[in-house]
Amino acid sequence: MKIQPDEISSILRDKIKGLKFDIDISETGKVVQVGDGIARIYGMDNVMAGEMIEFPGGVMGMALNLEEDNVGCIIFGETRKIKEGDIAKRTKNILQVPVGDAMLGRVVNALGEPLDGKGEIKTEAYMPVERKALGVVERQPVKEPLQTGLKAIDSMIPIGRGQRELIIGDRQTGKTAIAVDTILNQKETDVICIYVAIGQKKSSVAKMVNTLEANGAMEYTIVVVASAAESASLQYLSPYSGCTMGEFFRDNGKHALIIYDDLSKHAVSYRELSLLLRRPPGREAYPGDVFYLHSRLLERASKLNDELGGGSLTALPIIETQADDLTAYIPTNVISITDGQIFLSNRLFHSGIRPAINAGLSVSRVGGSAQLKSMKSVTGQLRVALAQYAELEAFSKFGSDLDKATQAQLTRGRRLIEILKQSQYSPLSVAKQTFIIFMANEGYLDEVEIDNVLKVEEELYSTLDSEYKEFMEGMIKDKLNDETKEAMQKICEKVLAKF
Amino acid sequence: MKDILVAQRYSKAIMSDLKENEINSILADVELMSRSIQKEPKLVDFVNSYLYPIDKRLEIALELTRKLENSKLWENLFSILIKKHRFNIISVILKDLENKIFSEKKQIKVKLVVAHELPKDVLDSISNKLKEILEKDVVLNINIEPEILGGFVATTDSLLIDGSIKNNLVKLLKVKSKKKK
Repeated sequence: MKIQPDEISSILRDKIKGLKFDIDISETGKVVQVGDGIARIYGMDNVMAGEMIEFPGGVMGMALNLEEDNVGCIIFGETRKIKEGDIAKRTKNILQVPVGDAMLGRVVNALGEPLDGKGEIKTEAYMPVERKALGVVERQPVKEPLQTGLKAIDSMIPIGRGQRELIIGDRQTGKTAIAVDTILNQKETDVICIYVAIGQKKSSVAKMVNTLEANGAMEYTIVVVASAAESASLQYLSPYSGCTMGEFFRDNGKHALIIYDDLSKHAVSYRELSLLLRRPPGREAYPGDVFYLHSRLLERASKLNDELGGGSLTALPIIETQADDLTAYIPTNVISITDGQIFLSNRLFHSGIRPAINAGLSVSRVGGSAQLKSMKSVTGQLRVALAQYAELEAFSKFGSDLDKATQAQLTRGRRLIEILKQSQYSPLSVAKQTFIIFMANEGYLDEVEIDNVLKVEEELYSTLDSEYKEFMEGMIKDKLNDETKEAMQKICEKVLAKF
Repeated sequence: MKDILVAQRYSKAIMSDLKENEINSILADVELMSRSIQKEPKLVDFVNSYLYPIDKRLEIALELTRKLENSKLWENLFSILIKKHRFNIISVILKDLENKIFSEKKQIKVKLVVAHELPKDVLDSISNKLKEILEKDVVLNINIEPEILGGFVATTDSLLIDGSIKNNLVKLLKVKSKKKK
C-alpha cells in the first residue's frame, strides 16, 4: 500500500490542529556553587526536603539541606554538566524508582535504571524511595522461618521472615558468602531476593551476579548496584531504592529478602555528603543523624498482618568491622537497631571453621519463635554442648589426664564443630540439617574419627536422598516424636555400619 | 553565595533610606548602570583591581556617577565598595536593588522570550496572562530567540513559565518514548 505525501500532510495538519499546548510553570533557583556531587542553589523558597530538582541537561538532584539562604542538593549524574549560574527547576516530586515483577532478574542502579544491557525495564509502577516505616497496627510478630540453608545459622541463630539480622565481621570472613548462600537457598521457596551492593568493586558484583546466574537464582533476584565508582549520592540512595523494590512485593502479600552489602560503606558515603553539605561532624566525623540513617531504613523490614496480606520483608544488613572491633560507632548503632547479629570471627575463619560463626557472640532475638519445631527439638542440646566445649577447650591439651566425662564433652564438641562446617554455595534442606545435628547430639559421631565426619555426613545425605525422601518430608512437619526419633536412629546406625 | 548575601545587605541599606519620590530616579540609575556594566564588563575588574592606585580607581568611579540622577548616593556606595574591595559585586547589588524596587512598586520584571516579533495585542494578552499568574504588574523585557519555535518563555528570578512550542514538542517526545517502552 502506498501513502501519498498529501495524505501524510493532512494527517499531520489534523494532529497539529488537535494538539493542546500547555504552559509549564516551575519554581526555579540559581546554581551558586557546584562540585563533588553537591550543588547549592539560591532561591527555591518553597522546595521540600527530599524533592527532586532538575538541572540543565536532564541531570537530576535531590534537595537535602534547606538552609536560610540556599538549598543544598545532591546530584545523581554528571556534575560536569552543571555550571554556576544555571537555572535549577523544582519538580514537586519525591524521588521514585520502578518496582514490580519486571525488575526480577535485572541488575539496576540506584535510580532503577538497567545496567545489565538487557534492554528497558517494562514496568508501569513507581514508588517513592523514601517511605515511612509501617506502624505497629499493620505488623505482626515474626512467625515463619527464612531458611538460609546454613546449618550453623538455621540451627543456632534462626531467622524469621520480617526480621532484621545483622551479619557482622572483619573483611574476608565470609559475610557476602552467607548472603549469597541465603539467596541460593530461596530457589524452591516463594521468597524474592534483592541484593544491594554499596561501594563495592564492579568486578566483585559481576562475579556475584555470575554465581547467581549459574545457580539459577537471578530469576527471583534483583541486584541494585552503586559501585565504588559511583558518586556518594548514588551510594547513599541505593539501599533505600532496594528497600522500595522489596516493599512492593511485601505490600502485595509476597515474601522478600533484602541484603545490604554493606552499611559501613553506606555510612561512609553519607558522611562524605554530610561533610560536603557542611553539616556539623560528630563522633568519627559522622553526622548527628547517622543512627536515623540506618534505623529508618531497617525499620522498613517488617511482617505485615494478615489483613494486609501477610507479606514480609526480611533484611540482612552487613557491617564490616576493623580488627573484630564491635564497639565502633556504626557497628554498635546497627547492632542496637537489628533483631540480632551473626558475628563472623577472623580467628575461626583462619582456623578452617567456615562459616566462621562465633556462636557465643551471635544471637537471634526473634527468630526462635519462627524456627521449625523439628529443628528446635535438636538445637537445644547443640547450643549447650557447644558452650560446654568452648569452656573446656582450654583443658584439651591435658589429653588423657582429664576425666572421662570431660573427655566425652570435648569429643562431642569437636564433632559438633565439624558438622557445622559447610562449604560455599551448598545450602542444605532443613530436614538434612536436623538429621545431622540429631546424629551428632545422639553421640553417633563420637566414635567416628574427626577426619571421617565429613564422609559420614555425605554418606548420610546420599542415603537420605536415595531411600528416605518421603520420610524426610514428613519429619520436619512437627516436633520429633519418639517414633520418628527411633526411625532416625535406625538410619544413623545403617549409615555408620558402612564405616 | 556569600556575594549574594553581602549584596543583599547593601541593597537593603539603600532601600531603607529611600524616599518615595526617589524610587523612579533610582530605578533609572540602576538600569543605566546595569547596561553600562554589561557593555563594559572589564570596567568592574579594573575598578576592583589592586594593580591600580586607589585614587585613580575612585576617580573613575566618581566619573561614572556624574551622569546619574542620584550621584551623591552612588558616589558614597562606590567609594565604600572600592575601599572594601567589593566592587566586584556591584552587578549583584544592582540586580537585587532593582528587584527590591519593583517589589516596592508591586511590580515584577519578566524576561520574555519569543520566537519572532509579536503584534501588540498578542503581547498584551501574554502580559495579562502573566499578571494573572504572578499576581503583580508585569514589566516585560522582550528577547527574540527563534530556537523556541513559537509561544513564549517567561522568566523571573524564582519562576519559569514555559509555553513554548519547543517545550511542548519535547514533552510530546517524552510521552511517545514512554509509551514505546
